[in-house]
Amino acid sequence: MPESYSEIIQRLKSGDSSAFKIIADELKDKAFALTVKILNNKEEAEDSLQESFMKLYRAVIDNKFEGRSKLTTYFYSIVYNTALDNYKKLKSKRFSIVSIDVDDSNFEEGDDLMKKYYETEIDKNIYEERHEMSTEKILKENEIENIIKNYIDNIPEQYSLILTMFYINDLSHEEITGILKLPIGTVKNRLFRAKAKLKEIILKKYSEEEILQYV
Amino acid sequence: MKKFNFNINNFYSIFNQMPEQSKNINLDSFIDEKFRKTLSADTSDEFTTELLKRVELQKVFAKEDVKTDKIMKYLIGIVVAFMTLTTLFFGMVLKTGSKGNEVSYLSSAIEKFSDFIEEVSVITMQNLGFAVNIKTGIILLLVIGCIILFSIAERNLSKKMVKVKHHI
Repeated sequence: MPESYSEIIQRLKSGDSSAFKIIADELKDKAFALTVKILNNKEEAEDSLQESFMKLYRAVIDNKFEGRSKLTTYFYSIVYNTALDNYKKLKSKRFSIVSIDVDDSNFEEGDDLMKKYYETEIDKNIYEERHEMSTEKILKENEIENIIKNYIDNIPEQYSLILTMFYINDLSHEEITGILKLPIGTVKNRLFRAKAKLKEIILKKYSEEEILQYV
Repeated sequence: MKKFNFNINNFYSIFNQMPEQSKNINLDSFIDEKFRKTLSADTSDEFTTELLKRVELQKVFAKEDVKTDKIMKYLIGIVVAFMTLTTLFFGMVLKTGSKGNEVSYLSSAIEKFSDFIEEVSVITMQNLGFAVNIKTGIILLLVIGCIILFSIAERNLSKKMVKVKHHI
């Protein structure tokens, strides 16, 4: 039976730092998805995540984590804030800070989602390169995945961060609200719109029956 | 008698709703699954090893911090005790010296120190325009002692900080 976080915390407090491996193994990839979305660079994202894990370790050892919230929520909050701080330090031009920042008073809900996404024509070469080794079904599935990847890569960070928190970090609407300091209605609305828009894009190209072959 | 109004369209809408709902659920779950797949990212293979190394280092430094804190507390205690004892000692010697009851080896050393202070006092009066007496001399010595002690402590701490940066 896997150990609960409270048991792991007790082990850490008693000086058994090897217990931290369990937390790291369980959360590293999920948290990395969030960090890489913010920093848009894998190396910087790894450094930022290491920093976040060390903050969590110190918080547990120094009794700063009082267990009022779930350990995962507390950790993702650290991950988000550390990545945002690092982003500000790096001042990367690739990513618009205005859109990362939760203060989005000038942002009209959904406008960017419509503007920024352009259905990209799938490179025809993909078909030629893979034709010999892939069946038509695999190609179609790849194409759908490419559409989704392209969509996610192009949607504004207000959406992709919430999507990552919801789908990868398994955070609830309330937990996302707590981390991003956004109204719960906005969080729900963005999730709904992001999903509805993707559905619309996919259904333009494929019939439901075609898609459901892959479910 | 109430007339039973059966509409064939309602019948179809009830039975056709089930597969439609099921389709939507399937499509939703398909999109959810694809979102999960596309948004996921993997850290490098060395990530956990590196992290655990940092945790071990953090543990070592935490132990060292405790040691340094203890040493600093002892040092501060020693300085405070030294300052108190010196002040008391000088106070007592000066008091006994002024009464002229005993002239010990120590009090003669104090006298020599006092003469030196007087000489310094004359020099400072001539050059800087203010005089120095025995009390200010003692205070100055204590201040110099404190500065030396704190600079040693600070050097040790800064060395430690550099060490931490190199390791992490």
